[in-house]
Amino acid sequence: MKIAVSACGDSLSAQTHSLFGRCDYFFIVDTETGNISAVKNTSAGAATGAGTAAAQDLFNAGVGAVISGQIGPNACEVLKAAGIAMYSAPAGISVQEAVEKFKAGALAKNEVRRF
Amino acid sequence: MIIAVASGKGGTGKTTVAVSLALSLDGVQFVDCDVEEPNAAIFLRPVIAEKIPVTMPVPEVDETRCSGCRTCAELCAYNALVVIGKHVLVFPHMCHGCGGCTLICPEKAITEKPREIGVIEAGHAHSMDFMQGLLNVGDPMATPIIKKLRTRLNTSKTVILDSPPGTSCPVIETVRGSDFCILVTEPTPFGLHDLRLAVETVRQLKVPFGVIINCADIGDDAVEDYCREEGIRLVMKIPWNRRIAEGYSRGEPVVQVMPELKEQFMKLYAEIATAVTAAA
Repeated sequence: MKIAVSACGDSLSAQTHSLFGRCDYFFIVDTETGNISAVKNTSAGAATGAGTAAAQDLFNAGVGAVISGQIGPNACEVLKAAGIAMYSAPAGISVQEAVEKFKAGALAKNEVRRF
Repeated sequence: MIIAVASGKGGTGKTTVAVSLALSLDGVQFVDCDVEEPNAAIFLRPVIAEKIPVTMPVPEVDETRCSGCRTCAELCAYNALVVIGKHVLVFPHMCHGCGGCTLICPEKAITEKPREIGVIEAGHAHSMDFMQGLLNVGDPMATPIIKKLRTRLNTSKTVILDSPPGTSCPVIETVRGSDFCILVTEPTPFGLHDLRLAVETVRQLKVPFGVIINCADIGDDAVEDYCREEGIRLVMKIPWNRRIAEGYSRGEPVVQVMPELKEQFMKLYAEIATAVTAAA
């Protein structure tokens, strides 16, 4: 399965991002092949709908799970409809650590915060 | 003649000025364009005769025709459409109603349906025609309601537009095409900061404008210095006065609390009319 991690930079030691739609990079990690690539999030600067656009991009890339800080309600709706699982990235951990925790089953499911 | 009353900063006295100017003249059309929180009605107490719903077109997808090509989602500048397989998710609150997706869909699977975003209320107050727009609570699309208000202006009368604050789309929709814009500010660093932004905006819109300083006895002289340096017309000063604030808290217009200011508003109107005629 491919997983996507929202990140502040394009190295594995970069911090995971506190936001989904407006993060700087997505790390796409293929848990079967071990293939890892960092993709710039082209939706980060969108006037509206950064979350829906980012979710569309990840669906197009064939991602099955997302690890991120806060995921907004619109993006959440898209990810749910696409059957993409959502996991919380604890604040202050690196992409590498997040992937290891995910593999160890140590990440909590992401819940949408309602304001 | 259309006179828009705007400001950069909120709470400087746009409605105070617009209402007082309207009450100092005869038979104007007053339009509250601050559709997110219209408040002129508190002071003018209009009798509403007509309520007109305002809608905007949003896409509706016939999924039996959709091929899942994603052309619509790629076109949408606001990311209001997402295509998951052959399932199209529409986010109506993000749609600006441009109609592009309907036009571009190769399968003709998209049609437009109206979404109600608010209402226009029209009636009378004192000797004036009164109109206000009310955006539904929680809805982000203020501009289409202002556009609709602007289609109902009676330019055979003096029209006074009470603008929303700031410099964003709803303000531009209100101010553009007006004959004159009054920018209301306060003599504080905040007032000056946001006045500069408002001045840049109205200059780009090429609308002649003048500045009113409200609560003129507080703060500092920086706004006046700025106007002098920039060659901006300072058209009026409204004093800081506790009676005005007390009247405001009771929903009483300034010219009712301090009738002596009525003459100043009439003079202001004459000055604006002269400036507009000279520009034409």
